[in-house]
Amino acid sequence: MIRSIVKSSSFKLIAPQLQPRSLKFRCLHNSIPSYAKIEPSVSSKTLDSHEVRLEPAPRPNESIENKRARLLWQSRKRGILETCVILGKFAQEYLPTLSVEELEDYDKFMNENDWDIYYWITETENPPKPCPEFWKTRPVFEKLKKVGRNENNEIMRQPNLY
Amino acid sequence: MIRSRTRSIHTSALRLATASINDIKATQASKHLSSKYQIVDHEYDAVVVGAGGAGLRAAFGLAQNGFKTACVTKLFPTRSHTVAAQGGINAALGNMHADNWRWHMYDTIKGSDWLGDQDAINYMTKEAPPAIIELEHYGVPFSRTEEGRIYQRAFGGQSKEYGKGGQAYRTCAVADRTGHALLHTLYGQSLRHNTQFFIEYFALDLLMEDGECKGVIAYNQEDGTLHRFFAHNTVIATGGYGRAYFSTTAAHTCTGDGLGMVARAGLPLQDLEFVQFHPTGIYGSGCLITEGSRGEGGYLLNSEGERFMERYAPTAKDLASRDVVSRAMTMEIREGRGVGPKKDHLFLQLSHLPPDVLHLRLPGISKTAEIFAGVDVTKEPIPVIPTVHYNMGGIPTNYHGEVLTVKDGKESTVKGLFACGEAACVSVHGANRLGANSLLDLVVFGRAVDRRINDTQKPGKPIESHSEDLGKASVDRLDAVRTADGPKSTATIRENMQHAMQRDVSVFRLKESLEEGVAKVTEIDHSLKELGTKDRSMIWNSDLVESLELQNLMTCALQTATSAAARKESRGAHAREDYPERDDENWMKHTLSWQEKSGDKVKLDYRLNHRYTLDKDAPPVPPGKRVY
Amino acid sequence: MMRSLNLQKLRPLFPKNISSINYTSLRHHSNSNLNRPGPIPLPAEDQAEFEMLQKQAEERARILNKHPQAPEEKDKHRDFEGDVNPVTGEIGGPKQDPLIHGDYSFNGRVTDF
Repeated sequence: MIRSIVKSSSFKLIAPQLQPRSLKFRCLHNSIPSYAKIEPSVSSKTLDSHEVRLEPAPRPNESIENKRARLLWQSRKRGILETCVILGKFAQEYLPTLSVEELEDYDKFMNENDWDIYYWITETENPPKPCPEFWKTRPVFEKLKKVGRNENNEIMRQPNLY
Repeated sequence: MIRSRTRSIHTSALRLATASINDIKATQASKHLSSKYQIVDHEYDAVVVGAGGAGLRAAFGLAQNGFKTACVTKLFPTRSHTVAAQGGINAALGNMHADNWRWHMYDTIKGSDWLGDQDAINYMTKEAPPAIIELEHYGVPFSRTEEGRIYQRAFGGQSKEYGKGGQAYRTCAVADRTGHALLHTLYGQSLRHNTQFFIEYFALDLLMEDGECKGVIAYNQEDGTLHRFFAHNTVIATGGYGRAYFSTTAAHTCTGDGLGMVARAGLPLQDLEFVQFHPTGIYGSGCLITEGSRGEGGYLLNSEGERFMERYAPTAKDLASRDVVSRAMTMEIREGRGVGPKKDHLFLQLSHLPPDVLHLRLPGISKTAEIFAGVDVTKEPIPVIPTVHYNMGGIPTNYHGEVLTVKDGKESTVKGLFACGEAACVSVHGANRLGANSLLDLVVFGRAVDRRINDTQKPGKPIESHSEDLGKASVDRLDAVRTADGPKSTATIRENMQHAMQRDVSVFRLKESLEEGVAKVTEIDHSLKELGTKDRSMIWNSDLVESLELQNLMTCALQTATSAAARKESRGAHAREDYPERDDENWMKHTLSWQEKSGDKVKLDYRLNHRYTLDKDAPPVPPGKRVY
Repeated sequence: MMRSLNLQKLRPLFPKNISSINYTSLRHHSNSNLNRPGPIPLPAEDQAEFEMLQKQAEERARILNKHPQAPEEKDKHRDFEGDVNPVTGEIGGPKQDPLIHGDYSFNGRVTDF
């Protein structure tokens, strides 16, 4: 029976109320590396009982260039068409010029569920999960909403890389 | 956005950590395979490519049964395209009325226009109730009736008593997030059972030796290393190839990667010409607009401002059935009466409806049209075009999930290779998929693969010896794409292909148009030689990966066009103007198509579908007329 | 809330001379004591068809009784509060009926058909 879960490109799953650097994870198995513990049954305002909460993987040595490249890939390849288009457009317009703090916010935002991202950016009335107050205060979220409003009234399609 | 990162491959501490864990036996591959790229070898009992509904179900089932399982995926599992599935899952649970899986089987066989393999459909509909109940135990929160049983609703195409008993209530759902709930539950369960995930690894090719599949070679985008996963069983669950068309509801990740891998391994793909369309998708993005927009009084207009549906369906007009509307729209565009600068789409007029009807009956359309088409529905029409939604074709398998090929004129299985989900063509959907059957397909056949591997093998068997330079061709291909310096960008070639497919190989099919389509797509396939990429890095290189995806899409597109041109009948989603009838005598068979290298001519062959069933008390259904 | 039988369908089965008889009473009589005076019995296959149609109607009514039809057009399109669908009694289901327009759709966007 395999004891450890390891993947080269790591991710971290933690309960929402625990801090990233905290050592008190509830382990399911003895030797799971620290970045792969899960808390699927902890309920929170934004999680249903079957949902798994994600945080971006700790990438302490990642350069800004690599970060931008990674976020570009992760914006263009999403689960639903709607977020592919909106985040792809956002990535083309804003990603090269975001500050470090905004990049980290964006990284975290992209780990929300695709449907929630779509409903929050497009400001749908009565979304199934209300938009957390945290996002409403971030400048990155304002920029995302601007893309979602389609102020130029153009036909939206995911832009080409070049 | 030109980035010139020419430094050497970045080695992160995480990769070294992977290489040193004993359990995984990750070792450096021998140097002569490639001197430019670092290659790490892994050994597993089973490797699953793709982490959508089918992939996760197979991976978690295998891990639960004690097999050392790796799941290689280019996306985070909860971002697979299954998450877009908001529909339901059909199962003859009988919670709303007395139900019988044989009735569901009849409906599915009829829906597939008698092209589906009846034994596979028998298996799927019989296993549907246990599969749903199993999902419920894993934690998927299906909606319930007051008594606490799973609530089922009535959906088109489902009937009782072999079509004679009226509408059947069979579709189970989870609020409006069925796919999302399914993925999260399965992902949580697979983590509990120690499935090893290799996330954001792009699978390049299958490692084949002597016609057997030994594993997969994949590229890690995090640090640019290549990984060979040697396993006794490889399961492909990579999804469909909607992105071969200009207008599709598929996310940008649906690029037929598994199908491309199988084609390059010299194995056939099946029934690719059957592609399911919906008439009104928003031009540009591809979001589908409900038929209710026409039901509430909206109508379609061409460039002359004419309500052209009156010509094609004088009585039903805009309320004609979906395929009639799609064909009418395509014909208008082909005849030059399309709107827009490229004259390639049509208008859906809703502005004449009273605003409170729009607000009450079609609230979401206004929002969607505003965001994706930039139009105000109360003043302007919405640009629409027939849109691809699902691919019935894929990798041919039997009902156990084992991949099939034709050797010496006979059907045989490929050792070590399995497929499930939309990537596979089992074939339960045949020539046309019924609604709410695709999620069922994922779950049942993901489970079938897991059971088959469990029944025929034991975990822990040592990997057999294999030649050292397995995968060299893939590494060379990767290198060629990464250093390509032709004049055409990936985006140009991709757009050419998408437009050609949308124009010639979509809903309207005629000998001349199909042959034109085949010729155009072949030319575009040859133009892949002129591909040029700008980014030379090995880390998070979107250009590189999109070019690799384009190669996969191109082979799917060319095989689709060729198979469609060859099939001289109309069946299900493949409707031809010059052969409007179904021809059971000559054409009740699956199309198999091969294209081993880009630029090769596509080879076609056929195999009969299975007309026998598995259970004695569920007799096969003889062909009849498909009318609803 | 029993739906009345589709009498147009039944009419051709009955010979002309009994067209004035009250058809609902026939339904009750078909299950009652045969010694009482009653209408002329139908030929066997017509009787079977009649009973099948009757069964279908009862089954439809039973399902609808459990989950009655939406009372008004207006309410079908509104999102309801809480977890329980007031019209059908479904718990944890979608807030709007996805099948109003014939395909599976939410907010005008189709997801399955």
